[in-house]
Amino acid sequence: MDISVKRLEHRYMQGTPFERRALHDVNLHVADGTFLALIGHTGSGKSTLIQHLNGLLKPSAGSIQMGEMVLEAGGKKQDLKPLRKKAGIVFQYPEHQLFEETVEKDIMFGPLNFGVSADEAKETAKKVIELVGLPESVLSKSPFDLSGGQMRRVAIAGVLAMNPEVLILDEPTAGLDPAGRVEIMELFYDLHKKNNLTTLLVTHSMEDASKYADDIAVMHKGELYLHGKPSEIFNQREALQQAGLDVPETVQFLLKWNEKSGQNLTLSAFTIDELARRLSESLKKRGK
Amino acid sequence: MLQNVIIGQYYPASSPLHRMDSRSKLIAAFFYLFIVFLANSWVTYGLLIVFTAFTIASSKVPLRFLYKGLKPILILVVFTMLLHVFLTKEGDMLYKAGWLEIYEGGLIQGIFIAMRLLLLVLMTSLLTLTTTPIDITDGLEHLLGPLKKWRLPVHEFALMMSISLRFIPTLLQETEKIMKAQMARGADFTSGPIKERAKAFVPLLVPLFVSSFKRAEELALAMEARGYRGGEGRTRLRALEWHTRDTIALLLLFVLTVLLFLLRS
Amino acid sequence: MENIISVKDVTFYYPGEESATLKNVSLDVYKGEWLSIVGHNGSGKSTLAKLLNGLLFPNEGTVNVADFTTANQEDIWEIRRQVGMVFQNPDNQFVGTSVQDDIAFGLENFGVPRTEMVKRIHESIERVGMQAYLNQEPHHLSGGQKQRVAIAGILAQKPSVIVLDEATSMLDPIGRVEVIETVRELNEKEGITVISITHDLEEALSADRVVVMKMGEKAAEGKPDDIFQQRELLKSAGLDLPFSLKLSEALRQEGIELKKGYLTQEELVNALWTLA
Repeated sequence: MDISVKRLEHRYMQGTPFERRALHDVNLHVADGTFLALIGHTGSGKSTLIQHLNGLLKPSAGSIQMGEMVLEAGGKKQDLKPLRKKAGIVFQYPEHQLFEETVEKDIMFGPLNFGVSADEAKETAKKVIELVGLPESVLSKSPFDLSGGQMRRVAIAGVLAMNPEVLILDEPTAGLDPAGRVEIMELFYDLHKKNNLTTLLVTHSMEDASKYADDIAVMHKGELYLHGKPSEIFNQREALQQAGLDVPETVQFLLKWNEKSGQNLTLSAFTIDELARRLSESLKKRGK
Repeated sequence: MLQNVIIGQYYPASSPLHRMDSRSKLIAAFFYLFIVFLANSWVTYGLLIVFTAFTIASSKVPLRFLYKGLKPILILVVFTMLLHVFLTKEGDMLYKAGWLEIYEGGLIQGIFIAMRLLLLVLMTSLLTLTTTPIDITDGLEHLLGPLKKWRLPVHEFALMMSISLRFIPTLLQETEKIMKAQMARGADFTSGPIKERAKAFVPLLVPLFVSSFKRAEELALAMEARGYRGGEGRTRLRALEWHTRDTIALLLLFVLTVLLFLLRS
Repeated sequence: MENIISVKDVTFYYPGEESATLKNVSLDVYKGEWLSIVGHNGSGKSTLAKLLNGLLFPNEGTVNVADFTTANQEDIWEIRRQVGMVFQNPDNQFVGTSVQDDIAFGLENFGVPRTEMVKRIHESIERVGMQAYLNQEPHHLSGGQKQRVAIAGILAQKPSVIVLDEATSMLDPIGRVEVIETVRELNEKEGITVISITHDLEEALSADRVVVMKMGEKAAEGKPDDIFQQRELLKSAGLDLPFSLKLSEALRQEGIELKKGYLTQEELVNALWTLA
């Protein structure tokens, strides 16, 4: 699904003494099938932006187009359910939203709200629980008897069960241990590829952004600060630092090396393997 | 959504009333509740009105703000007034149209009752408008302190209050977050028949309970780690200071009471 | 070196559970050091932390802090004063309605007189750089700021040890740096002993010593330089490798002859430079 944000502005508590502008003149186009990483430090407006994408917040000015649907400032009230079904959000610490007696019922909550039949929802629950790497036997358990990591997976399954076309992920790996973090991110990335999703990942991890994203959008003080391919974004270390961010460790290392050696190496991908390859190439050339 | 809710209605300002000790304000407000009932004539009500107006003036709370807080109960005031106007049949008849009869006694009583209600509400709102909830809690803890002798858990009660106050904004944020998460999963909190709507709140309330219990558990552990072991032998940072202005305020109230006694008919 | 905490042969069961969460763990913590305890979720590292200041008590073995022992009920309060704890969730340990009320909470519990309290609050809030926020309410603070207030609350109690129980895991990168830098300064300048339970390997790298927990047992203990060379050990304990080590590894596979795995970027850059 194509996403197009135009001149978006959002003010919290409009018309009160506590009014605060959280977004200003944001223009962003995300083509169907893109994996976009949204980065920026806390309070930069990332979370506010993504909540507009399925109508949880209404624009104070400007518009959002999600596929066919247009949400405008001052536009008339419309049924948001079709939009919410297509754009699934995994919130920060999603395990906090679990509430049902069994894992199965909790996963079925979304599909049932969107008018799927009970039988079909049950089938879906079986499918998605496997997808998030949990055994089917978990379905009959109470979500509150699971470990924190398992609860997170169940909550994610509850969003995937709606079979969304757009997946919006708000720091989905926060608070997990390193192994869990990699597993969850791989899960989303596989799904993104397999189902041809449009994915928006809000993250503080430059490593994840560089590893998975086709495009990166940087938010700063409520505005869209930078937008481009990872290679373009990570070429601008100073600009990133001004927004309270930094380049991935691989780039940091390469910059240190360039300074020491006087070379001017660059990376096309930002993985450690790619960095090792570039370095060894260059070293071997010098050795000759 | 929920961020528009303003809790406790405290109006931040620096007025003589704001600077008063919460104990003297609590005593005064409590005392006022009783002496309002002493008034029974135009003169005595006039006296109360002057006193209340003086208190409002020294609170620096804008009248507009005060009126906003009063609005919800104005209907009640008008309703009680009308009830008295129509149902009390004393004194000369002033007006008659069909079954509707209005007597002079009824009219006067209606006005008095309305004034009484308004004065009561105004004074108690002034207490919460000029005193932070935590100061009220502190004041109550001090005033109720002697009850500890009878094993009333005054300290525990005050701690409970202050922790609740501390966590209200946190829980509001959490409520909003869970609400949004469930709305993203297609939940609808705003439409449908009442029964359906009540059911719709289950996905909101269960997570809130679960997280509150978890918070409570973690908070208890953190408090224990910081050496909490009940009120015994505890010192306090928050100190209440009784100034001359507090004594003067209570004296004024005393003079008012004496005058009310003397002037009531 | 002088011990500040010694844990001897500790075994711990949570009530109602069959297998022990901690099995025969012994550990010495030296005065003034920075000790990082790492391990996968459920390895028992947080339980170990709670045994250190008498929030939990061992089923077998002893935990001693300076001249006190958690086995002795009368020592508990002194132990809790000396060993301050910063927990994971910044919100759920903020007791006061404002910053200064929260810092005061511990002091009130220990019956510190009011004038002394005020002095200590001002002193400790400055040490964490939060003096501008004295009367601020908690919901106006960031996670990192709340954790710094928690640290100030501990400092006011004049502790000898600060235990960080995954205290940075819920913070954003800026908050994480804020908290770690604050604690590092206290460790270096004032000699306060720091025990940090953490997933953050970069943080563990700069510790004086590292303890690796695995399935309730102490799997390894030593200087970061030694611990992080043991690749298999780290993997089996469910831990990631720090960046520079991963890169060293990848370079070796590319045929670059490195003498060892380097822990910091600077070391690795220098090592590569000597090869060029």
